[in-house]
Amino acid sequence: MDLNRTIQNLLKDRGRWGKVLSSPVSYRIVEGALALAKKSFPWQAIYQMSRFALHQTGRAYTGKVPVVWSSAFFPVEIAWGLQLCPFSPEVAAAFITGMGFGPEALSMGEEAGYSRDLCSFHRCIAGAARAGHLPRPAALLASTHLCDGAPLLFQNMAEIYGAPCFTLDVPYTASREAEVYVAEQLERLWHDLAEATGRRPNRASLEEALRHSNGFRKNMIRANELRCRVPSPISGNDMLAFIYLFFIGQGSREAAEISACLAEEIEEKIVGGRWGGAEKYRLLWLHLKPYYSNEVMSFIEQAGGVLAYEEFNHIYWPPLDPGEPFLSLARKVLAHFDYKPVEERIRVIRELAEKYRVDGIVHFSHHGCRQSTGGSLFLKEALQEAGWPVLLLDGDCLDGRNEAAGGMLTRLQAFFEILEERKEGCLI
Amino acid sequence: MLGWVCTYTPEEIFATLGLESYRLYGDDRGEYAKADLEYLPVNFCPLGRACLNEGMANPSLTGVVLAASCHALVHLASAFRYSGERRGKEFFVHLLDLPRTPDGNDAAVRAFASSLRAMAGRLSSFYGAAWDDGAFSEALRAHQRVRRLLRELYRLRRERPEDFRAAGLLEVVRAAGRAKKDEFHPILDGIVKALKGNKNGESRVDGSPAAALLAGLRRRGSPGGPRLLVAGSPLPFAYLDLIEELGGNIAGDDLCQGYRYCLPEVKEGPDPFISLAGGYLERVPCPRMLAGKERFSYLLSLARETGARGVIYHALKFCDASLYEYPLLRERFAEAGIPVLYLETEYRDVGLEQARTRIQAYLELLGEQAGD
Ligand code: SF4
Ligand code: SF4
Repeated sequence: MDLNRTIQNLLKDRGRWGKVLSSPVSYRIVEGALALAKKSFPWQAIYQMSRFALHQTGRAYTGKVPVVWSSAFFPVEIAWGLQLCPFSPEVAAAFITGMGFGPEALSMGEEAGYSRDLCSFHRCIAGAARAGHLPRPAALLASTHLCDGAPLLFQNMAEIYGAPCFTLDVPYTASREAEVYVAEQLERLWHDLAEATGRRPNRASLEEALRHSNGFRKNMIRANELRCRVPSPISGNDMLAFIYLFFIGQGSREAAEISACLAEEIEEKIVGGRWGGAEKYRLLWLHLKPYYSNEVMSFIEQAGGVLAYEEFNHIYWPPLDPGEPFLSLARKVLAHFDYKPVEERIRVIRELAEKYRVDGIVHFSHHGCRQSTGGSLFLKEALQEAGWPVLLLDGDCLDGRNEAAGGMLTRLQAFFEILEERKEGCLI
Repeated sequence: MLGWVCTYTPEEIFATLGLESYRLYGDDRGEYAKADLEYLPVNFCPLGRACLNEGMANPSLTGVVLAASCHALVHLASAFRYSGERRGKEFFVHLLDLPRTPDGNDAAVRAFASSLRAMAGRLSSFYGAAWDDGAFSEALRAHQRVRRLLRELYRLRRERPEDFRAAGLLEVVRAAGRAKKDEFHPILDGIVKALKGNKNGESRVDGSPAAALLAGLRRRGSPGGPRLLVAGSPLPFAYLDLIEELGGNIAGDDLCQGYRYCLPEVKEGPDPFISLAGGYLERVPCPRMLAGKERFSYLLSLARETGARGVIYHALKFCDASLYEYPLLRERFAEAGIPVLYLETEYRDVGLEQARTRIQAYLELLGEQAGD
């Protein structure tokens, strides 16, 4: 039986989710299926990451360690440094959707009052929480940078679970003062979180988390450098899976090890000459992708397109200094190129488009994302002026209920035709 | 002339620097009614889009100050920058960092003070205007006088909501946000006096700009229904008129285009920017501030004080601050026995007929609850 089927079988009876998810037996069953499927993974790094995710999920649901929910861009090193169990509800929402349970969770979120114009990740989380399908948090950690919605949702979830919500307020303008402002909050938050979860704040352990985070950073930079090769040594769709490590792995030993394995595997593949293949269109992919179906990604692949690089895998922050944990985490948070006037995002995307020698840029315009989609028209104009064809692909990462099925594929097809014409134009 | 949008923008700074300022509300869009489509995607805050159009339609606007309160305003700043460049104008655009205040701490006040100082610095050098502490004290006093009178107006409305037209009250607040405060003060004073039945006030209002505002304050609909509180994102005035036409008595609001504008109490201290930051941040938080507990207890007490039996919550499409607040707010008010009616608009007068039926049913429900 394949891995997905095993999980789907375990979870098929919604009424028993609570029991199944909190039982260690379930995790042993999935671990067995995972081991059997080991060879079918295109990359062992993905296999290792799946094991890590399974282990983390088990820890979160079986309740041995205090669970802290962490929003996508919160510097989660803080939680690892206190030996807590970080849980990403956004990743859980993508997983729930991938397993086919998205529409139900979304509807429940909407019944709870969350509008369909809100980010579907959040609607799905609100619905799943209402149904009791998410692990009870001992605390919630939310950062205000990039996403306006996450801290607002986390605030609501904290009320529902009766847990404290710690919010990191990140100024929009990076400056020395902003660094100090964020660093002071982080230090306070670290103490308060320790108290709320019954942990003793231990600097050595936090420093270790920062070293692991640096390991992850270094390995991902190495993997990203190797990805400059043409044709692409790894599919971008596979690379998007590593979002899990970005969201909750940074600061863990496992994320450092998995990313090292990834970089090594890519290098081995290149050295062994076991790479290549037809590559008609190299794409730079902005934002995430649909998780409710593989149709879009398969279509791109079949048309000879590759995601040569993705905005989400970009390492934009300087190395952390374990001797100055709070200040360097503050610098990391403030360095995000998407949390600046859109000109900065344009600058970074241009650099990436050049570096990865892409033929075109696709912005997946996730319906509820104010940050990314809100600036998409400026982005399109500037990048087109700089010479790249740009497709704004309107869609939704989790909500496939309204999707005019063929709409996205038709638009992609038309985009590929433009890329094709440009190539022919170049040959002439 | 400087434009601004968010109620966390201390106008006192503009006045101190001798700069005329003007709150953008997104009306008077003229030939630019659809200019936003070129800059902003369709799933984007309709207030932001309308403000862009209004700004573009106003030739005397030379710059904008936008608080970085949400991504709508952040992208709106880019839209102003791009549209200014296109029209070949040297256009001033400033994004004002605005801390969130979940715990209302001093660090947030200091951080806001420092972003206000930076803004004043940029304004001074762009417009060649100098900061003067004496001018600041004067500006502060002028603003406080106007805010106090606006609060007095709200107090009068609270006493006799059946005599007031809610949209008219918002018109007065709007006029305050667009006027020089020392010029607006006597106008407002005349209105308040006239409403209090003071002959002196009435004679000052006659034929003056205040007359139109006073006329707008007069209630039109039948005042038989329950008292209500209106909260959420800025809403089209036609909806308020409709609520009143159907008998609702709007006794209070929690709108940044309304009562919240009248609230900051800025106390003069040794550092003007700390004074301003403290005054503005210590006011009742808006939904964006992530201070939900404080907000809900304030809103519940406001409902009690105004005698509201129901709450009309308006969310602008794509406004995260309101859309995320609503689910929990609905629950909290239900627990307190106060039902909430949810309205969603695109900041336009469309959809009134559909809303009419829902508002009617809601007012009936409130009537039944009260055993009317
Ligand atoms: S809701 Fe708050 S942050 Fe948004 S514009 Fe109004 S006052 Fe400013
Ligand atoms: S209405 Fe909402 S989305 Fe629009 S500017 Fe105000 S807070 Fe932002």
